[in-house]
Amino acid sequence: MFDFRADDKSVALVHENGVVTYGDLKELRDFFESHTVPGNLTFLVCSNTWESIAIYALLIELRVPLLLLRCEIREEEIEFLADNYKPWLIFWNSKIIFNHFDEKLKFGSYKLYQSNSDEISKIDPSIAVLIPTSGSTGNPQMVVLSRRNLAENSKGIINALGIKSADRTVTSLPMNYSFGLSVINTHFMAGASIVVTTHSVNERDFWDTIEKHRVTTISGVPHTFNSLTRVSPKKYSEIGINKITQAGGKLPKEQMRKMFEISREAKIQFYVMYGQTEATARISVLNWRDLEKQFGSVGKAIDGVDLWIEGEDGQLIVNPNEEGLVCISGSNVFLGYSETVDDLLYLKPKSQKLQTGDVGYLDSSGFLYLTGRQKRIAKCSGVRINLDDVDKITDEFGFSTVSISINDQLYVAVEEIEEFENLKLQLSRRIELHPNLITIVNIGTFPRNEAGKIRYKELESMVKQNLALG
Amino acid sequence: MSTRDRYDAVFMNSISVPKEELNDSLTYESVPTWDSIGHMSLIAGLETEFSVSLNIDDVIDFSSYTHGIEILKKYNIEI
Repeated sequence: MFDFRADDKSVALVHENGVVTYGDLKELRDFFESHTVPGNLTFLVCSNTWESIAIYALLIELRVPLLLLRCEIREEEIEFLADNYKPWLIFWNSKIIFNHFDEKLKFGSYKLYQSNSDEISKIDPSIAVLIPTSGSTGNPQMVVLSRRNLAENSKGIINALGIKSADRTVTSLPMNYSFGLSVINTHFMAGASIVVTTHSVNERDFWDTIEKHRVTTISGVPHTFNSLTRVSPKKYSEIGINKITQAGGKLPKEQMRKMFEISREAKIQFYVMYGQTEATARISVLNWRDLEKQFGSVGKAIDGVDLWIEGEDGQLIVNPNEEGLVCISGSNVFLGYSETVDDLLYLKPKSQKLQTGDVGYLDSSGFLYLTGRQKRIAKCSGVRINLDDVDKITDEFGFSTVSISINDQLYVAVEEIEEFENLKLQLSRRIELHPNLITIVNIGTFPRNEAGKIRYKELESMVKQNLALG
Repeated sequence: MSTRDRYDAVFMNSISVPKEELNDSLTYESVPTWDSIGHMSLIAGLETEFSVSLNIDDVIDFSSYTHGIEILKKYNIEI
């Protein structure tokens, strides 16, 4: 997919202690070739370090299917997944003490552990990555993506954003998140550079690093823009930023307006995008030139993606501005979900069509506008949360709740509870969502229909009313 | 409520820290809730409470409970 060449002296990665050229990656690829086997499932615990990104890219080149894990993962979770998936190798920058794995080699801050068990998963090497979707609400379910998914979606993104070899981006997103991963894929495919930092946009080191290494492109999810919209156009020009991309949920109008104004003054191309992991990463992109006229839109489908709107009955909606379910088909539609390695053995794309679960409409010029979610799944700051699972978890804690999401915030409605600070912190720890993104709202009595089912629309108005009253 | 009480209330609400822990040793990342996301809610909370708008340098420099008081002075807020 990346086709690294030995004579390529251009910079792939910039890190604290130096650079890694594309030629270096080719050399490392040959080194890793002797330690890996195509089709042997491997775990990678991801971090924003040059080692983690290099291991990812090299193993993709070597046709080693990778299950990507977040760096904060607990050991028992890895153990659980290892039981379900029987990987041959695990790359981690921490010490593994569980049985069945021996330390084989060190690679910078990372260690490679090899299974000493006879049971090793061999899967189709056209499977590229498995990305966990549901965080810690419910069973860990993986989105399975093929090499073709990654390559084709990356091409579409490169075209839509005009990514060139002179571009230089920064690791402002985790790489085990489909948006973060797409930033790596597209920049490596375009021969561009990636500056590696573990710092976030509200830390001085982040800005010092991107200034020092002349970063040109920043990508962010909505909460990143709390910081990005505070930087002056002058500062952006001094650093040399010429492109900013946004995805992972809707940016509040006010911040969108602010970012638009900054981008215009600093001559930054500001792209608003839409996507999901099941669509590999990106579905649509709004070109910066259209931002003012199509304010609030998420743009048009990128190359390789067909997009349409359907009614609840499955009928195609042809009228502009008529709301319905957002559906796509194309080379970016994922292979399927997996919970254990057995699911991977029989994985065949069921259909090329993907129901995104998002509700929206196309305007008369074909621009997509999103208006809501069909399923009880929320996205908070780029993290996907199954609202029904949240209510099951609070039930375990001894609370009866109904969760909803409004503007990417999680609201947990309760009936007549006075003491709920504890609930918020417990829940926050369990679903790994920051407590500030969770609001507990006491609404008296849940609105139900005759069958006893919750009336969510009514609940939403009750929550809003409750918040407005303070 | 005194300005100090209002300042404290924002800390207690936005990063869930009890009143007795609001002192010199409360710094960025010294408690799990004051991480990069908590930081932005804290800043947003202070901005709403005191009707100010902090620039990025002050957001970045806002590294402790105590230093925050110094930063807000620049916006004519005496804690």
